[in-house]
Amino acid sequence: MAEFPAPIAKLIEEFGRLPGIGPKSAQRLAFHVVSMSDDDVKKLIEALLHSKRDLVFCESCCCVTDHSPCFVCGDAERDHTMICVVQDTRDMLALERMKSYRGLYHVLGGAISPMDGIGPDELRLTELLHRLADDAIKEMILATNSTVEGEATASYIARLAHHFENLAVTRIAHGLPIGGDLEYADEATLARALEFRRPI
Amino acid sequence: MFAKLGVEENFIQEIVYVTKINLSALSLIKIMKVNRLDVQNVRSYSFTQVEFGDNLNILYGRNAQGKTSILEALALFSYGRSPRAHFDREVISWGQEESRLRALCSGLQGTIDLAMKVTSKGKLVMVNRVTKKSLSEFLGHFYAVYFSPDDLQIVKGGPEDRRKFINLGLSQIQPSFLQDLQLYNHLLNQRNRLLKMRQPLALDVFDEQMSQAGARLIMARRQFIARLCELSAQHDDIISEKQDQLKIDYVTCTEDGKLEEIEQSLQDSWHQTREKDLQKGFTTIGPHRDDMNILLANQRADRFGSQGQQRSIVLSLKVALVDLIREKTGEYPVLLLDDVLSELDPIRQEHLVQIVSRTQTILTTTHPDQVPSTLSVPRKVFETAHGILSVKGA
Repeated sequence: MAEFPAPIAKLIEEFGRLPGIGPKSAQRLAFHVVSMSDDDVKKLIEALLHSKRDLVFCESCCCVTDHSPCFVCGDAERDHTMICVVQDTRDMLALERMKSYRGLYHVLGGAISPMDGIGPDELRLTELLHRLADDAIKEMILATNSTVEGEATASYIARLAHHFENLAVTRIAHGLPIGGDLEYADEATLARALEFRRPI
Repeated sequence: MFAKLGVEENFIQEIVYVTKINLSALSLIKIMKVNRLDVQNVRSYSFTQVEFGDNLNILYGRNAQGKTSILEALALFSYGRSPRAHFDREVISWGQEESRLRALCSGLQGTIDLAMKVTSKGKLVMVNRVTKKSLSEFLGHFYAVYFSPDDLQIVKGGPEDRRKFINLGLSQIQPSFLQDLQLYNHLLNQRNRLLKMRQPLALDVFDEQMSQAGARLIMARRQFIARLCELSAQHDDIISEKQDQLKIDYVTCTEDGKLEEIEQSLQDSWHQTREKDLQKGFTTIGPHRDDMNILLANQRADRFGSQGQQRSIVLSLKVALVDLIREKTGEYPVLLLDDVLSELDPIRQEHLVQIVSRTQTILTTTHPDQVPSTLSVPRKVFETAHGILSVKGA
């Protein structure tokens, strides 16, 4: 097979390093870039550079934002006694789309997963503990994913938070998704849904 | 008025239809059967379609002609993995990207279409043409017991061979067991990595989750082994004429007890061995090290049993497994015998023949004459040569 010209081979290699991009997608993207107009390529480069240059981590909740403190932490209207712990900025934005949670967030930057080299030290836990100690926070909601790693992270944080006497620690509920059919749910979900049933 | 009548008619038809199915389920189908197997790019087969007979199916041919591959393909549908290969990708024909397999089975649940695609990256499984997310949703549709000369390792081999026997047996009849096993192994990997990273603080939270999955594994295995032991006692003449008793003890790290007690006990043991685990960099105790002690006349069969006794024990365990599957599911599993008849003496052959006459059996042999003449059930004979299977007679 004929080799790709060097510049495009380099481009394919770089695209291939992105998550979710396999060799074929990398080639398709690279050839698409070649066919783009110079203006569009410039816009793409600008966007990439800006995203790196202009984005920072919020000094308080550690989310990815364009100005620190972020739009949640800087909002005096919000309930500063409640903090919701999530794995990722994307999780925080998902909760924000709900538009009914009025408390603050804390973004961990992942979950404990030793196989991926992520131990407790790699998460933003020191920052969280500082906030729990300083602020007048009354409740911490643990909203990490419902995976093995998410559960481990939640119980790890719950253990750390034992020292704060006046802090209520809660975990988001698990079970059937809204609009979901019971018959299609897997056994683990059903077991969880039954375990956390409540009076009606 | 007419509309109402129409509905009622439909309703009555439905009742008749439902009753018919139930009647046939109760009276006729108590035997799991595989009616057809299609394989593509599996070992030496580029493409083959086999229509099996209802009773005895004999595959014969010289060595390395693809007899066992057919049994292996069938075992994939009941175990979810190959009983021979270390990795599933080993079943893919040389130089090919993927294997495709499809089996049409019938049993208490009616006719089921099972399909599987094996690639170097993993497996894709389908039940009635619907893709399933996990293997545990795929298992439990086709029951089979695979018996090959390698099974001698259950007695002679290491604990991992015996765990494999237990795990494969349990995954078939209790798909949630497989889920727990996968969860436990995942957590164990995470925990071991954590031990290597020397971050003991986070260990507690993994121990907690691991003890829940681990306790369920222990409970299931304990029940499985106890029942297997009882059932094998019903066939004690398999073992010997001297009535030496076969006893199987479950070896695990906790005492018998309720689920919560086992959970607590697991957590306690991990707490106690933490220092040692941190030094060694892996989890030294837990259900991942389970074993079973096979005792014949109160002596360990792996050390003191003769070759013949060991073979008899394996046969006894397999026969007990057939009974156990029938007991749990209400139907006889398909028997897959890989060249085992020639290794048994006439008395034990006779035992196997009795079971064969009750199930659908697919057996391989180098020569059709090796099949005992006492086996008088209808048979269908296939010859395998160079990856081609041809019907020789029914």
